[in-house]
Amino acid sequence: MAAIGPQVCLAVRQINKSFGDRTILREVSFSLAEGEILGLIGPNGAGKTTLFNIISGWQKPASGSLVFFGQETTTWPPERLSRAGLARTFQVPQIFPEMTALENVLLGAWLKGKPLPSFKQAHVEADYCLSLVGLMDKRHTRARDLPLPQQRLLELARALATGPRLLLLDEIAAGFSQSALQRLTAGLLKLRDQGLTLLLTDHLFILMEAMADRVLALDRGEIIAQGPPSSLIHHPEVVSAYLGARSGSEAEGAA
Amino acid sequence: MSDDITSSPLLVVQHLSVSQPAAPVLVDLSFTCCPHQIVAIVGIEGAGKTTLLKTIGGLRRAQAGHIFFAGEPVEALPSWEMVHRGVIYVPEGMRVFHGMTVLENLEVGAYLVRSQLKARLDQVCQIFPELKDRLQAPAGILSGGQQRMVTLARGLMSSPRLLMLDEPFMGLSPKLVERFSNSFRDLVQDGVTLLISGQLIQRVINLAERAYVLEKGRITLSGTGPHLLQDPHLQEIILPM
Repeated sequence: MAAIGPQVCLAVRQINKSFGDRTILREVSFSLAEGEILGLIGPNGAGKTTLFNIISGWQKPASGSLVFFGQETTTWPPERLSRAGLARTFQVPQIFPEMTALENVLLGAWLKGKPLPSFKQAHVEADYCLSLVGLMDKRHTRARDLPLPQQRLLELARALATGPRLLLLDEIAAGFSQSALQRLTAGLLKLRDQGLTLLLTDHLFILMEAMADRVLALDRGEIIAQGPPSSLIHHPEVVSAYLGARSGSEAEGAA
Repeated sequence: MSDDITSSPLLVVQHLSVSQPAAPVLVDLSFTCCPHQIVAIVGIEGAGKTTLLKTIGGLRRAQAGHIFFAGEPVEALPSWEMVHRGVIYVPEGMRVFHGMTVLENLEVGAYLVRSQLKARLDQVCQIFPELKDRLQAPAGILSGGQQRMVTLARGLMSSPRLLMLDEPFMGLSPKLVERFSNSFRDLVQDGVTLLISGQLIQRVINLAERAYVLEKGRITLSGTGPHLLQDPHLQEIILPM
């Protein structure tokens, strides 16, 4: 078969969602190619996390559909999506606080592959993922005792341990120092080079500039602009709704 | 507000040491906070910033050292007594009471200053107009950024003298960060003293009159914003991308 460019990883088609009389998402459509890094930006309350929740099966849309590597997944629960290769992190890390870092990641590693891995294989995988995020020396630390940025990394390690093809990162870098951000970016770009597709939302525009091939801007549930990060930073609607007038000039970017 | 700008420091921390079973978190740490100032504590993750703020707020105990607030020793006081004295700690992240309405969350913040409830609410709604039409909504259904606003707003409801904000900009859009920076300056004009911690070093230092750099539980640098930002060691920590 002749190669015709990258496969579509995820197609989001005309998604609508309301809570009571509040419209959260309106006719949201986009697609994501395999190996692409797509950024999602927007003001607080724009609907970014709800969109993540719908794509990852935690909430159902009122209408619209989702297609993940050719299969319609609109009604799939999160665990089925996880086994199919869609993993995510949460804005507030959903770790198991009383378990150690290693035990948290093992839970992800046990979901990977068919047949499911042995105890030993899962340990090897969990250790590998902990080392990817730089938490090997914390593997026996209780998750609740880790500072918040490390809890985010732990959640990332657990998501990676499931062996995802598409990874959704919800404000993974919130609270990161510049140096930690730089390590995270380098690590994620390396994973992309190995074939991982990424959808990320974050208020650190420098993260978008460093990583995203394309950025979607969401405001009040609708896509108002899309394009490479450099094209959005001066987009009038994006500046007005999200970035603010001073944002382009600061070294910490839109941070 | 009774804190006079010409008076002695509002907060004095002297030789403070805090340990966890495994390792020291804060080591022989000393600094002061003058009234009507924004003071920043910056450093990378794990430097001890949150522990420092929690210890001042009475949520952690120091193994050694002293904390004076408005001239009185407070290192042995419980957190509720610190709140009563006007020392308010606003934690990082979204810490709302999910099942309670936004209004109820805010009322909790004003519990000790109930007579000022309406005035506090008006001020908070001015700073966070997004919350005004969500007052009756359960806080748990708000977006993450809006929950962050409720967390900050609840701290303001208590009529603080010293407001300690742990990572106040985390999870907020750039436009909101800009707006909140202005609001923080307005608060200082109204007589509040702010102690702000953060990893967005440049952002936090730019906002502050004085900043302290925390590394592995020790203060390694201090100074005013522009002076500190030129420091080669700080430049190393910032590591611009």
